[in-house]
Amino acid sequence: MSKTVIKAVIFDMDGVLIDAKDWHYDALNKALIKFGMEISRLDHLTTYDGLSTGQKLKILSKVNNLPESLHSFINELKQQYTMDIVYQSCKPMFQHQYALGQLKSEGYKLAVASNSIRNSVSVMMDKSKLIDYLEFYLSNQDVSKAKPDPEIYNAAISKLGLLPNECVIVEDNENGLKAARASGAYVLKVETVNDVTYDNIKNFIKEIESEA
Amino acid sequence: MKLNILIPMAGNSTYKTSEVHSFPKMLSEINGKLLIERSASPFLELSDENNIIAVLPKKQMVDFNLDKVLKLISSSISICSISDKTQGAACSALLAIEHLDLDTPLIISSFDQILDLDLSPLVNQFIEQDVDAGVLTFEAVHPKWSFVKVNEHSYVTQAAEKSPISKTAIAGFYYFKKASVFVESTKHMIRNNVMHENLFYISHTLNEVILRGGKVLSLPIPKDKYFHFHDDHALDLYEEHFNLTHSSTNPTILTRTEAYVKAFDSKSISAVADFFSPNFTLTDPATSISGKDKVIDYIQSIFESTESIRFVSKKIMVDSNNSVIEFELILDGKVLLGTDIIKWDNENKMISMNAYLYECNNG
Repeated sequence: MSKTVIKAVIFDMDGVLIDAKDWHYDALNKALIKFGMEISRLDHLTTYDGLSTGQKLKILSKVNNLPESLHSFINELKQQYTMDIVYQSCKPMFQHQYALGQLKSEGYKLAVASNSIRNSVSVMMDKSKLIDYLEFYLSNQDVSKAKPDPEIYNAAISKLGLLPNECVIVEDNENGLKAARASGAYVLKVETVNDVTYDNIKNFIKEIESEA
Repeated sequence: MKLNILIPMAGNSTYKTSEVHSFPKMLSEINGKLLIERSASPFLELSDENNIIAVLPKKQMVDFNLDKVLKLISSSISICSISDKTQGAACSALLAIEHLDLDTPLIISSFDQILDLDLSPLVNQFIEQDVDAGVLTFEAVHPKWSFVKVNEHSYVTQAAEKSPISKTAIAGFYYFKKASVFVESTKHMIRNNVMHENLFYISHTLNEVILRGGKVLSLPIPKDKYFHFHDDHALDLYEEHFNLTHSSTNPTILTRTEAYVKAFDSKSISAVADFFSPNFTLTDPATSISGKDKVIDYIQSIFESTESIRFVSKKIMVDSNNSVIEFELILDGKVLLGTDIIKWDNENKMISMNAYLYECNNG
């Protein structure tokens, strides 16, 4: 049996490279408030967290009579408000720039696979100054099924020209972890963006390679 | 044509109560009818085919049983219940999207007001002129209204909320060629974040129609046909007006009677003719004549057979739809005293006049 060698690290974006949870939460609420609705912190934590905007709106239609004909418009507003916040609040983080820079210089291929739309990924990677370290990024517009389906990770692994067991996926939330595990790659679970450090990733890789 | 008629009723001021008024203004009773019935009446009179949607905040709907009240006023009113905290009437209206037929015309108006006139000729004019949107307007300068700037063809070039950019104020009545025109314009307005004091107004959707090359027609209505109940003071004013126009001291009939005296005194047959309804009947000691044209011929013959005429009122009395003139009539120096008892119709034209007179012997 040949020795396992990790050749790539694939990152989820929201909650891993970008601390965007509050941005998405605030942006959706800013759109909903127009129509007299709001997702409270409690409802967010108990019901909505981790769901896509579309899934959240479906719940609101059932609970609060939000007309389904307005879903796409509210989603559009939410994207607009998210980008407003991104342009204002998305800044580079030293530890991420350092981690991705080091890994790249050591020869690891790096990519991002996110449930967000392409434009959000592009702008956030640019504003956080991580885009130059990446081979590519995939958005929800590049796949037919979003996470928890593994399609986006399968696509990333094949685009890297690698096997699943040559890749590490860094993920934070339940849906993402499900997708990552189903892809067959090694999964590093992080709690917050602060856990995404060079040392943590490097130690995880060492562990895999020594165990195999 | 079947119309969508949308009435957003989610504004906070709509449901204000006070120590004097424990129910919202719309449930105030004036002469046996609720204000909301009087508000709804011109829309119900348009046609019973129409799709009337009242957009109600759920809490107040339940608190005041408004859904039940509206259903009893007319079974053609349907209810769309929403949150009581939307960011303005335009957002409330948009929440009714699934109640609308997007391909047919849409009227948006209010039950915080009374349009005391027949709306059908106005609506027909919007439809016949094939404009993209329209507003009913009245003359005002108070900054509480929405205003439009209008060009020489009566087309709106700009709408503004709570800012008198002209003397043309919107009488709480909007027309859109199709409901979809309103929906798309409102979306553009929200995208562009066009707000006034953190609220999205229907008036600003007109600017979005104009920006996309749409024609927006302004049709003026008489100021005294529009009542808006923004506060209790306005409600009292309406009640006062209602009592005036429906009781013994009708100011319009008084004015019309005075004007008739002047017209007769000026010997202008055309001015006099303007006061008669088509079936007008004149009865005087000499004759009784029915039909406006015959009466005009008769008066014309009096005017022509005399060198000079003076017609002076000594006293005018008004009682509901009747007025009485105590007059002095001087025909070529001959003085006659008498009274005219006039019955008026709702359009302030004379239905009948009974003239009593006797010759004054100057001795």
